[in-house]
Amino acid sequence: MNAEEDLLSVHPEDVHVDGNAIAGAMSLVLGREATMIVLQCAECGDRHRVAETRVYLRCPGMVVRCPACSACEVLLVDRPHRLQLTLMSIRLMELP
Amino acid sequence: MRPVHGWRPATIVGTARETASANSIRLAVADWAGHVAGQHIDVRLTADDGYQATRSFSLSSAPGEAPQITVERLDDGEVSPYLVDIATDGDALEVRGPVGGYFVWQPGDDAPLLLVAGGSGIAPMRAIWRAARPHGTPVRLVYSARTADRVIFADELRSPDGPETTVHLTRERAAGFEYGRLRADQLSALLSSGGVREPRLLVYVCGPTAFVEDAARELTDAGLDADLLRTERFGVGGPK
Amino acid sequence: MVTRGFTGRPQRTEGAVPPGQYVTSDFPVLTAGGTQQLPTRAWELVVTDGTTERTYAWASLHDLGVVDLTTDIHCVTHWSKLGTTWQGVPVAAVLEDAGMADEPYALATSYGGYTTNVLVEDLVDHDAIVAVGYEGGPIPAEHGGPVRLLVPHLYLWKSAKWLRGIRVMPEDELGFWENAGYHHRGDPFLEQRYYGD
Repeated sequence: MNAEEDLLSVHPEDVHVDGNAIAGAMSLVLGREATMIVLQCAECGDRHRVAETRVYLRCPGMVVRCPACSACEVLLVDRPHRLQLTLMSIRLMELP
Repeated sequence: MRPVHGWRPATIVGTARETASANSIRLAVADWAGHVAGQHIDVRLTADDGYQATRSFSLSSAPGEAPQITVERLDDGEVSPYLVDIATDGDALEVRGPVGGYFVWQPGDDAPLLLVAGGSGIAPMRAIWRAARPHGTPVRLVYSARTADRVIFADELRSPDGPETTVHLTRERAAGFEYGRLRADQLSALLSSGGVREPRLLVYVCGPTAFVEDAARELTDAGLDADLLRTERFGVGGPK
Repeated sequence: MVTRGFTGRPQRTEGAVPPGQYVTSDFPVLTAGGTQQLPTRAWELVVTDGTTERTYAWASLHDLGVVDLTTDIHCVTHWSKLGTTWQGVPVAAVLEDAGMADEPYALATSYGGYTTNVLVEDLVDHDAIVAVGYEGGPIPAEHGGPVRLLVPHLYLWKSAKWLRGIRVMPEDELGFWENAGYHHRGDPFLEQRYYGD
């Protein structure tokens, strides 16, 4: 497979998607649309929308990382009858 | 926008084979209050032993139409093979959403649109062009697919009602298609119309992560204001 | 609600593997991001009880005696891989050498910041190793090399990749996933996936 075709492949190892993927679960916790919420990373201070975060789905839960410094900002565990959201490296959440 | 409240029962009310590996699935969802173009839903399937799998899929139908998702089979997947090959009318599943306020288009802004899609990233683009057409919003689509027979919505793209479309095939040459990956200079040229830079052009990019990252970088390198760019990446649908 | 025709993954089997698991022949890369690229010469393991510590480098760890281990592994994301072979130093040998096998609780720490808590008895009374090799070669970085913990009778999130430290303690201290809602022990045969299971 050459590099061009590779671009259209979904790689098992290239596992991050973006914050759109966790917006449904996050909306449940926050009670509102979540993709436009602005997060400020407590590690590096970068400000970005939830939609712009990097989300890793291929692990026990869901890991939301800062797009600038990769710090772990949020952990989400979507269990059958319970949703658990752990805030890790977030200094600020700004709701538009 | 309607807040999102957990899982709701849904029933498959129609399927349409788009390509050998892609299927559109129309749903009837309890209390569906409509959606905005570009939004997605979370879909949850439950096996008879209680095993559950959840994935996100973009809605490919326009606001006002029944919710529909368009899914391409991942050979390694557990949800997409069901949705592409097995799902049939009357099957029950659960959905959450609609979700999203970032990768969306709503009437009111008449800025022209450039849609850049890779693979099944075409799904939310269909919702957007169908939503934008009645408002007279100019829409251009560049769509990258592996081969001609993997072009999803091919008939609609050829019809006069479809957007102004260029399809790039990465794996074969065929009449009526560009060949090779979408290059930086081609993307850059799309930011202009008749040689004049379109200052308000809104750009949506959706596809696999690597495709989106490349296209977004090339577009911003070409001078596109990041505020006018919306991206949505998909990868393996969920934990494995 | 059951979705007719949806069975999950096709290779799911009953009996030989823990409940809710399917057997895979590949070794899926589970990642929360942040894969560490550590040259062997830069790697070290610090074993501590909070007052004293012992540091092991690649060579001094090997001096404790490397064993071969063939074992099944089980990931909480529902896959199991059968008959994997590993090379490593029994955790019991490491804790014994450090003189720290007497506390009841341990927290494994990783390069990159990951942590996971394990009972010391799960480390010393079972086939737990500080793994230095996989299938006769080095452990690939995406699978936690050069050195990872392997506690094969528990879900794989307990087997910390890029192992950097083992801290033994009189009280339990929860790790990364355990704090976020996963089970404190994680026995796959009891299907201890989430806290409360």
